[in-house]
Amino acid sequence: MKYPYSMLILLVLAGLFAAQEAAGAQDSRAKLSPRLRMVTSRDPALVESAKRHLRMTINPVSAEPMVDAFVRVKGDPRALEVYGVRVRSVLGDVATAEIPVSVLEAIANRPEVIRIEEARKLKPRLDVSVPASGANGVGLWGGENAANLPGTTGPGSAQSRPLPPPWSGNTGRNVIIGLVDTGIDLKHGDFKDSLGKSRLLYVWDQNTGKECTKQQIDAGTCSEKDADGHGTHVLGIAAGNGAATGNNQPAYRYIGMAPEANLIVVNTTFYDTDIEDGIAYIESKASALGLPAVINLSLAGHLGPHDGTSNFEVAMDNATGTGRVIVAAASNEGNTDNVFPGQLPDFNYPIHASDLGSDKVVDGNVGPTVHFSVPSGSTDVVLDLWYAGADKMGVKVTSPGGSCTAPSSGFQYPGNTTLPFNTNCGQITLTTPTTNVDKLNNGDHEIYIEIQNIGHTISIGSWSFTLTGSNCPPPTPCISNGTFDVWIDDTSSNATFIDNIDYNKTVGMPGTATEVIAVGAYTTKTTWTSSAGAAIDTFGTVKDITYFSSLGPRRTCSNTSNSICTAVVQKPELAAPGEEIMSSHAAGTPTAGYCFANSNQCLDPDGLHVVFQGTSMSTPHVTGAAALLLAQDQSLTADQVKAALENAKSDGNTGAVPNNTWGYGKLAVDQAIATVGTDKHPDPSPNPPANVTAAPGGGSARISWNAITTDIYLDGYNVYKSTNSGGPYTQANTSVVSASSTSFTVTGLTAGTPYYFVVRSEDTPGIESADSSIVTATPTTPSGGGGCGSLRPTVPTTPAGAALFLLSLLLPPLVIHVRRKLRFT
Amino acid sequence: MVASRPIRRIDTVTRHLSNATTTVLIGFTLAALACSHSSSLAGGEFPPAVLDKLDPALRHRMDELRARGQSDQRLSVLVRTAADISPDQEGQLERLGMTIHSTSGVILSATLPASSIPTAAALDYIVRIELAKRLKPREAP
Repeated sequence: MKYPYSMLILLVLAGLFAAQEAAGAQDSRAKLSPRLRMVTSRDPALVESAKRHLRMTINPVSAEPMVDAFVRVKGDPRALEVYGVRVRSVLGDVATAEIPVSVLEAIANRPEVIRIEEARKLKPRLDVSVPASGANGVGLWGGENAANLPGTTGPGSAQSRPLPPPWSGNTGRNVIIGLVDTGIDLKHGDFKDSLGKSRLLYVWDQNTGKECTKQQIDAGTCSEKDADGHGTHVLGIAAGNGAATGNNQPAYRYIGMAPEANLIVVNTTFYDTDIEDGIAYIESKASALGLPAVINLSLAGHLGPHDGTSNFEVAMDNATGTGRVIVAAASNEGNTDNVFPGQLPDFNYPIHASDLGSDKVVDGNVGPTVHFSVPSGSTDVVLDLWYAGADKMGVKVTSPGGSCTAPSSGFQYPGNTTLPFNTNCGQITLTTPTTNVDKLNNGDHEIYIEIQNIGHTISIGSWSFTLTGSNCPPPTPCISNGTFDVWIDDTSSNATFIDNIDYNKTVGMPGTATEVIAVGAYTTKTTWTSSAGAAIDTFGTVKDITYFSSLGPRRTCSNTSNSICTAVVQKPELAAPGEEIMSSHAAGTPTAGYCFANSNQCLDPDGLHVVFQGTSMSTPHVTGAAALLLAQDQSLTADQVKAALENAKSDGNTGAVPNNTWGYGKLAVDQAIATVGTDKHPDPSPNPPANVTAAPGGGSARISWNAITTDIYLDGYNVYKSTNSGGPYTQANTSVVSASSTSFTVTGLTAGTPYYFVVRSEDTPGIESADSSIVTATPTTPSGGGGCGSLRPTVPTTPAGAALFLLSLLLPPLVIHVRRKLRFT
Repeated sequence: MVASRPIRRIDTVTRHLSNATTTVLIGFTLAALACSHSSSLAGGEFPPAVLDKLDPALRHRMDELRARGQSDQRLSVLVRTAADISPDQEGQLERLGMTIHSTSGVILSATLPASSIPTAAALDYIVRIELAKRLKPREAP
């Protein structure tokens, strides 16, 4: 008996070993991207299907097929060369390489290999700027600057080579891009999927209080509109898919950064409280869906400390975290024009003044005096001045010509709080700090000056305020620091400073919040084809910073016990394309932007895309980039996303980075992605349907399954059949089975032959799940016609047929069939 | 992390005040407001510790409303609390007529009558109240 026992043990051990081997192989295959799993499968149809999407070459020596891929390894990727792998370049732990298809599984089985993904083809986005943002080379998309793509000769060249979906590579799937802006044109084709359904999951209009769900949007019962056009344009840059076109123009010329991201839009009032509510709304929806979210704020304000300590700025910080990122416009008050310096008064908005380092308030002295221009039509001019809490500055406001002053004599000092002065030049209200203790905790003082059309019309012309360091309330000295910063609130007036102009510290709030990514703008395009013909922008220089991009740094607050004040924070964080950006045009809105002389010069010939410029336009490039990062790894924190994006490009235009113009440089998504590795997140393929059953029919089988309700991308289902349980399986349905269906009848089957079926769910871009469990059914012989009354017996006409007919009488599956025939004979 | 909250409307006139301290505070505030003939908050009817918690734009706006006899008008504000707000504190603020729309850590987005703001600011766990400020899209000309 000893020998049989030994054999048994050996068999068991062999079985265990084989099982372990199989499990190990399964684990190693998980390191391959779905398409590489397909190309290494035993199903010839899958292999052929995968090959259509792979960049393949033939090794000239071994004649082996090689696949172009990214390999992420722990250690030196060149160690894989013993397998015949040709490593081309190494970026951190990621290498580009050509890998023999025959060794893919063997390489994946090596413990130091983390992930292998095929190279993915790029497509142009927004024709120029998205490729310029580095969305090429790593299986990403690229946008508004085709001039930088190989094989193109300049702006507009992308128009000759539209590249429609299906998408490949990282397209921002499974990430929500939230927009708090002027609303959205729901009917614009750039925000619909390939089935014509809206990509918007929710819309909340804070102006009307109305909320729309995706179901309402798809049903056409949501009345949301974008009356301004700004929000639609911004969202097109971040996430438009470029599908919209007209006037016989090719589609897919203006594809946004993350063309498959999910979208939630809040049409806001632009009050910071509502913006916070809008962010809370988007994040609560994202939490319910279990998805990360990037929120785009192409907006800014200048009323506040600009140091990260205001309630609004702190609220923004609190709203960031794991899978929660906020990106905001740096704003447009930088006056960084290098083409016509000082010659753009119409475009020049000096809204920040300061001591400039050499014009400080000096203890015991009066001055400086800072002039500001109040244009006609002004009804409410607000200035917000901040200075160190250790100082006690007096302030006096003087009207044009000096006929009115507030206070009427002397200066107003801390402790006088709010005092309105009704003058013949308008009402001047001075609000000064009440004590030396600032509860805002930035350790500084604020002087709030407001001039209003109350009692009298505001005098037009050159106003001024004078600061003083003398005669302050005790204790003295009045001044130990003497620096100050003052901003004009440009949401209430078009007033501008005349002297002490400082273009630094013009990054607006909430871009100054510590955790928010503030984005400046550079130029990627100055010529384009419009509906009015060739158009040109003479104010921009390609590759250089735009004339308007706001400059850092943020103001430094003086409370050293507050970590916000002591933090070293670069503002802006980086720059992205923001001049002459062609993107989605909301129907019925003005084609504004640079083209005020001829608005058609801003409109694309398709009538559905328009050129705008501003840091409003650069911001969504970064928002889309952040979405791509989160699609790559949903566990990234806001800090990690920011750190990754700060791996930006520098060149002769940026100079040494970081600096207050460019931050860390030009957005380079490829470099950012390289720092977070590839696809740490589980494969985003959908789950296969569960509870699959098969019921035989006459020459057919009805396959049923449970509906998948948790996949927001779900397109539908595909049913596969085979006469062998091990495959190969062939698709039984010619078009995808609707997502709302839970069964499909496979026809044309041979009666009496056992068939095996699997069902796969499919996402919109054609990504399939793994196989469901295998089910089997043996079809019966088909009945003769379309209804009982039309059934006719099939009479054998040959001896062999007659024998089969008689034999069929003995086979149980055919008994009912025969009886039915007999009944109608 | 931000969490959205349902919007709750509270009738500030008829609502019963169960907290005696709040009642006293509100009574004191209303009395102070009623007796004040000053055109501004500079008149000293509120201690500096309370006014310190109000940003200048809010103080200015409150003055404007009081001058027009519209102190019952609700204002949108961002309120900073010393720590995450407790249900008891939330109830206390609601009894002052505050409607909390959303929270972002220690920052509340809320509306409340202008007349209730000094009382709210007097609460020890209220650090700062700032008037809602308008921002604008940053499309360049």
